[in-house]
Amino acid sequence: MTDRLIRGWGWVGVHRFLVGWAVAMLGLVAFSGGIAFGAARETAPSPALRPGPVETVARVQSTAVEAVVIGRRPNGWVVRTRTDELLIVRTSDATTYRLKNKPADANAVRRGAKVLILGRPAPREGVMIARVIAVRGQIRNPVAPPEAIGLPR
Amino acid sequence: MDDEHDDLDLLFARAAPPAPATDFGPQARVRLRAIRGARRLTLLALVDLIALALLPLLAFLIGAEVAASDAWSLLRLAFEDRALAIGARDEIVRALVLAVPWRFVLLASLNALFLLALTSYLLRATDAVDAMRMRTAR
Repeated sequence: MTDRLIRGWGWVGVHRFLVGWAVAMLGLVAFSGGIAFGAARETAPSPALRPGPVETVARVQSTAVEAVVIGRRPNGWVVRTRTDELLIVRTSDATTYRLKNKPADANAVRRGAKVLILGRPAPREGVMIARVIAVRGQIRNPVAPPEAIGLPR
Repeated sequence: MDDEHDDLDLLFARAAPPAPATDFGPQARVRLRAIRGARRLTLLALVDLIALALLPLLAFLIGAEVAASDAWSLLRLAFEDRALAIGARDEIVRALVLAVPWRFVLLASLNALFLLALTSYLLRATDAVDAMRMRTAR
């Protein structure tokens, strides 16, 4: 047993470049495979419209949020994030809109539209000030009116 | 031939007694060092394997956390809509930086560095075991 161990390490010593490359390749495959597997297992819930009332407001820290538009307000939109939280999106004249990767106007944003909002979180919790709203699609679920899902006016 | 000694006994009696090896002591010490070295390297190789096994686990956590964020959608948008990516690059970069699970990235980096250092040491240390093996084989 001990002789085999010594012979084995002797072999590793002779083929050290091969062993080094093998370990490096194994590490690389393990790392990229782990990332891919983790990303595949964690299927992020797509923002969707649900009939129940919205109970929590989104604590936005990021400058980008993917969400579904569930209602229009005089100075913006009410959206539901993928974590099923409510977010009020404030818009201004400086806000730009994108539809199918081209410039659009505010009419491109409709209830049920899947949007990616770029901007900054407002000091008030649950509010985001939008700089760009990119429409990324339309969800198929029937869209309930905002009042029916307990949205604040 | 008498009854008490057969041919084999006579043959042994005629043969010269084996001379004890002059360098028995040093050879034994070299072999002992080779055994100790091989055992130590095996233990270190086990630690190396544990570090190697931790790498995909940490990568899994990084992948899962990034996938749970809006980072994939944002990256897709940035690739598809170049004009937007240029115009809103500050927001995009900041959102991507915030989406990265830095604690797992740090752990994975430390693990990879440890793996690199230990593997390099192991491969260099095999020289000593191999040299001792060659000396005891002579």
